[in-house]
Amino acid sequence: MQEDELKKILDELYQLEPNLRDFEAELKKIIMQMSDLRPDTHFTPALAAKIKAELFQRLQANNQDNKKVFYFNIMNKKLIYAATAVMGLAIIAFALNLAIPLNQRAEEAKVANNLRTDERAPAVDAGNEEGIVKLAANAFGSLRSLAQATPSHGKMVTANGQEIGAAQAESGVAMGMGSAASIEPALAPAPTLAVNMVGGDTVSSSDAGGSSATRMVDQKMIAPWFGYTYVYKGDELSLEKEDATVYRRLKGSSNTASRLVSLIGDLDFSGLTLASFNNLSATNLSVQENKDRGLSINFDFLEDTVNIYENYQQWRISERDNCGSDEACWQRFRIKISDYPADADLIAMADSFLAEHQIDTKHYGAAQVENYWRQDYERSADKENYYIPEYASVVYPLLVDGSPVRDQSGNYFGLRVSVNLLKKAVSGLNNLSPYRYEASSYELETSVERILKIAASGGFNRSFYGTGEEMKELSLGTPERSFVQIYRYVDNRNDELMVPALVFPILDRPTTGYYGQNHVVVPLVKELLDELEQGQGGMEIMPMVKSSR
Amino acid sequence: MATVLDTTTEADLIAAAQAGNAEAFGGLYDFYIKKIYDFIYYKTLNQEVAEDLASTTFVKAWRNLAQFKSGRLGAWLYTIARNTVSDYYRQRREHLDIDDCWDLSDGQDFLSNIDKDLHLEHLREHFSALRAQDREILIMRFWQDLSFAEIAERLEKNEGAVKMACSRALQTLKTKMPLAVFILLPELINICRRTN
Repeated sequence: MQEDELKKILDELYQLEPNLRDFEAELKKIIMQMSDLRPDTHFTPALAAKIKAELFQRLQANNQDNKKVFYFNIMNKKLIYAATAVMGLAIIAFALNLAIPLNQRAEEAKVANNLRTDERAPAVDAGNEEGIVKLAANAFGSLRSLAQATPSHGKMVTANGQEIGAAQAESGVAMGMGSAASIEPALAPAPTLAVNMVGGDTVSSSDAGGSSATRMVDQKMIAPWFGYTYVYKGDELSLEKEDATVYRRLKGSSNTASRLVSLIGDLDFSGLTLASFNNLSATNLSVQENKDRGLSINFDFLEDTVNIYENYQQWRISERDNCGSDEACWQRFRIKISDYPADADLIAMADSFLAEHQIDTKHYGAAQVENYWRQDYERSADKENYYIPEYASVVYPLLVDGSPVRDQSGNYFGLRVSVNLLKKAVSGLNNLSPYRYEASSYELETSVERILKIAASGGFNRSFYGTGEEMKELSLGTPERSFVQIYRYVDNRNDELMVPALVFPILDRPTTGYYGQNHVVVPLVKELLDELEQGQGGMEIMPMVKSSR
Repeated sequence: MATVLDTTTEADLIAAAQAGNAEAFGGLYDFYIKKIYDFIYYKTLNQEVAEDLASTTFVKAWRNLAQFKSGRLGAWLYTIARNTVSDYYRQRREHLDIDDCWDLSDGQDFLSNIDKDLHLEHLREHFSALRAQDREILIMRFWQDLSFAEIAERLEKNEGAVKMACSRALQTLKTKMPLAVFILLPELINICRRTN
């Protein structure tokens, strides 16, 4: 490892825990040893080619079995021209689909849910302009074994300017492509020979047999990693016996997708006529503005979402692209705290963007700026060098049946507008989707004691903050009833569910060490509580199969 | 092989691949294969297994690409790779604690593998003392040369939490390594022997 890379690593760790500087020599040695132990993976270009060949053989075999996939060469100019010609038609088609009569969608949903007619409530609320289809109780099946899968929401910007899911960034919950059975608690139990923090002054390390070395280690060496328990200090809670509605977002614009194909079906793509294929449907469509600060608009017909991104080439800053190793150059393009726009200004930019593009916000609440980075910033010992994100997010909370929807960390989920702070312009939008849901009632928990017990362990985020060498206690205030968005990964499909939950505010967030949430969220649906109590629903970090030894 | 893939290029490739364009998917493969292969190798320490699981990872990605909606593809692929490795071990070692018996090679004699490469012995010695999460963070930071921000993205965690975990893992190595090596490792070897 190069000295400068080593220094960079240490500097990053010192930024979080300055006391580690006292042990720099030891840290260097450990890191260098670790780096030296890097195994040779035997990866070569030839190996990459070999795997690729095998991969494409497998894909080809898969495609032959599954004719739904078709291939065309996007590099074909004729096709590009033709595709451009139909893009406008596709947009119209997507818009038309939003107007498909709700009863038609309900019929589609019936088929999709594969439920007997007599298991359903007869009511298809065709007159409900909010687009909610009422189903019989428990129509979504068991809500357990939630994979908490791919979030399409909750984007926030990391220190390197990349966007990640806020829900996961804060909750530590990761998505899983595997089966639900592969989901296990996020944090494995601490290994044996655990280091115990005693009294905050010393750390003792003892061997498993208790026979030999007991060493005193300066606590300064250890960056604190605390677990947290939560004590409810709000008003008296009362939970009436009730069933309450769980919502599932309707997805899959099969009609739009089919219409789009019919629009382009007769076009000749270098001799290839789509009409020669059967039962085609479009899965997505991308269009882009070719102008300064132009945008790329992506229609996902499977998920029924529209997402907008920067057309990157149109947002480039050529001077910065050529900074190379000129640190001063890079510094000129860093966002400074003094330059950061006020929340009102960011919201005004977002409002203006939505109005310009006639995006209906009647199902979204008042805009809020996500400023989570400011919490880290305030705790940072070196504010001068703190990396302030280049993008800001303005969130319009989704309202389902009039109630705001949150993620599992209690942050609002909804329409997300991104602002490029270097360009001072709106550069993206996520989570725009038709307001179409199915509704089904589920039994809620009525035991306050049980709810508070699960809240005490951290609710949905129990795995991330619920363990540690030393447990600290935080206070919870009176909760707000809300909906929480969760994902259920079933049959290669993400179900997006909104479940009733209590969102407890954390009254006394820690001021030192890492702690990234402001709320504790506890679902009210009984079977979700069962799952939480049984330790499922979290996400493993490394492959774990518990021992039978 | 590509070393840099800007977000728009990636988004374009993803969109085309989602439309069924295998050529575009190949572009994504070219960019990510080394990262994914190395990641799997570090978790399996076996070339053939890593090849097979890397291929499986991309097959799963292709089949489920329609499910990918936003964000960086890398984080998604890492998750698929992680689950693929997990499934691999689960299918073969259901009676073992994979966290303890870390990353053994299927169908291979544990000790003979060590004989082939003393490096691997040191790896197991070091890593068996760590929490699984911390182990993965060290692999990504020191072997895959990912930044803390990139690791945070792939693990879908906060960057501060990743740094904290790294710091903790280094401390663990410093304070526990000697005991872990001499007390835990023989037990691990015995466990692993029983499975081969």
